[in-house]
Amino acid sequence: MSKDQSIYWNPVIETLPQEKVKALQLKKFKRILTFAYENSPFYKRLYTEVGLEPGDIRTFEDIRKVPKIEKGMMRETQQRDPFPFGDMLAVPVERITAFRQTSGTTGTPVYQAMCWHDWQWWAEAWCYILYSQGYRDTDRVFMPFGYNIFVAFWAAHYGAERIGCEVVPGGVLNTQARLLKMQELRCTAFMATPTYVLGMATAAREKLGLDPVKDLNIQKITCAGEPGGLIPTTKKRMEEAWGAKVYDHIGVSEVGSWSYECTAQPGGQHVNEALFLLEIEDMDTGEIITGPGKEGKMILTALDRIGKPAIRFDTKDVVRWADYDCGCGRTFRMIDGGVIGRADDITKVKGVLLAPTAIEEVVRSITELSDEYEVVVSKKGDVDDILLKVEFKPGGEGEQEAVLGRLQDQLRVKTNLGYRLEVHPYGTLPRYEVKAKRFKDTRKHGG
Amino acid sequence: MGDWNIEEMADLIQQLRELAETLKEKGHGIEAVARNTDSMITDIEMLELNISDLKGLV
Repeated sequence: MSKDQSIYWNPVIETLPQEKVKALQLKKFKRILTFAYENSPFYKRLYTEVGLEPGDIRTFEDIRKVPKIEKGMMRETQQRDPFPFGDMLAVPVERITAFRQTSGTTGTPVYQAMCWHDWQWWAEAWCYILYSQGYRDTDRVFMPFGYNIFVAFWAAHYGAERIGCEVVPGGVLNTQARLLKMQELRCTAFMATPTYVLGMATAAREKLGLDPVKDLNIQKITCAGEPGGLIPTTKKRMEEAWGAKVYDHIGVSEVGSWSYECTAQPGGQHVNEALFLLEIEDMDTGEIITGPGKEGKMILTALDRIGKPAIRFDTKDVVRWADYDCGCGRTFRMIDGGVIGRADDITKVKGVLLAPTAIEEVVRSITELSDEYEVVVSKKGDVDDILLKVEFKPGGEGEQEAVLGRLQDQLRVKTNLGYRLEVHPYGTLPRYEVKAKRFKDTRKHGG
Repeated sequence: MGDWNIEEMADLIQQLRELAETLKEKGHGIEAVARNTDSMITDIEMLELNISDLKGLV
């Protein structure tokens, strides 16, 4: 079926038959591998140790021979020259024009070295995302983001500008000032983590007496940083709170902004296969999963990032291929839903595999509960214990017992586990502005 | 599929690159020329990854 070409940022690439997409990826993989081998001492060492030379990669299947890299290796190589990035760098340090870093929530931050090409490329990746979500030169886009040392929405800002949007930086403003500016300028879109999207709506209602649906002009919201944008119940809460369409996107600081949900929203995300190679690795066998349905670890390659190349980066995130195509006509493969969890976070509790996103999906489906919750997994003697702390929305406590019964039943159906439920007064559980930390496993720390 | 001639577009992009590189060379170290042509070249690189990389595939 012929599609309206104006829905694509690049209609040539985005509708390329899948076998040609793979041919493009192989060509680009060989190019970045050769570049890294010739210019990055880290990669030269890594490949030499296993006797691999770029010429050994001839077919798509050969890519699996290339050693993976991990965040720990990136931290380690930072101890080497050139300061402060280390010898993973593949361009002279003088060519680096932008410094960013990872959040450091799982250890020492990994420094991100961007030369001008990389910065332009990162914005280009965002053009694919935003264009597919309907951003155009008629949009006035508000960025309620701290413009700090993290990559976060920086590239989204430049991508939106490249598309032609008018971009309003809401950097140092607090939440209320941001809301008032969005109202004053009749902004049509904004970008934030799901936690902050919900938090802003609450602040609008409770602190400013504004109804985001009626008093603001937001038509679309792009989420990143947390899985909530593709958890149906969380997405529904956000869409109802703002009267806007909510789209998700997934990015990895060490790699780039690699996937996006388009306006067709079939329940998954397109992988930007023009700029990235996604491989999904079976967590038990280490084999690459090519078919839909089975979950595995996400191995990502940035096919055009040159300052600090990311080749076969083991993200530890868990995803699965979708078994459906998208009605939008894009031929890029899709992942089903979003990131299911971190390989590190998907943990066995009482012998059952538990993904924190499953708990969020249930909690957010109960309309009487507030947006906030917290999960604490601990050991009581020899037995695992899961405590789920929740809040009722103001006025929602009337049917408390019945609601908690419903919550317990749905949690058991969704996760096959029983929970201890604890109700906290509204407004007392922690609120977050960026990424929320709602899942705590004290068993890992001997707690 | 639209009426695009990828080969022709890729050739034009190549000419742009060569022109920018020549301009940089002719600047003989004028920083304002060197840096602005470098910036221009990264824009051209975005055209290369959107169009030129498709040469032979489309």
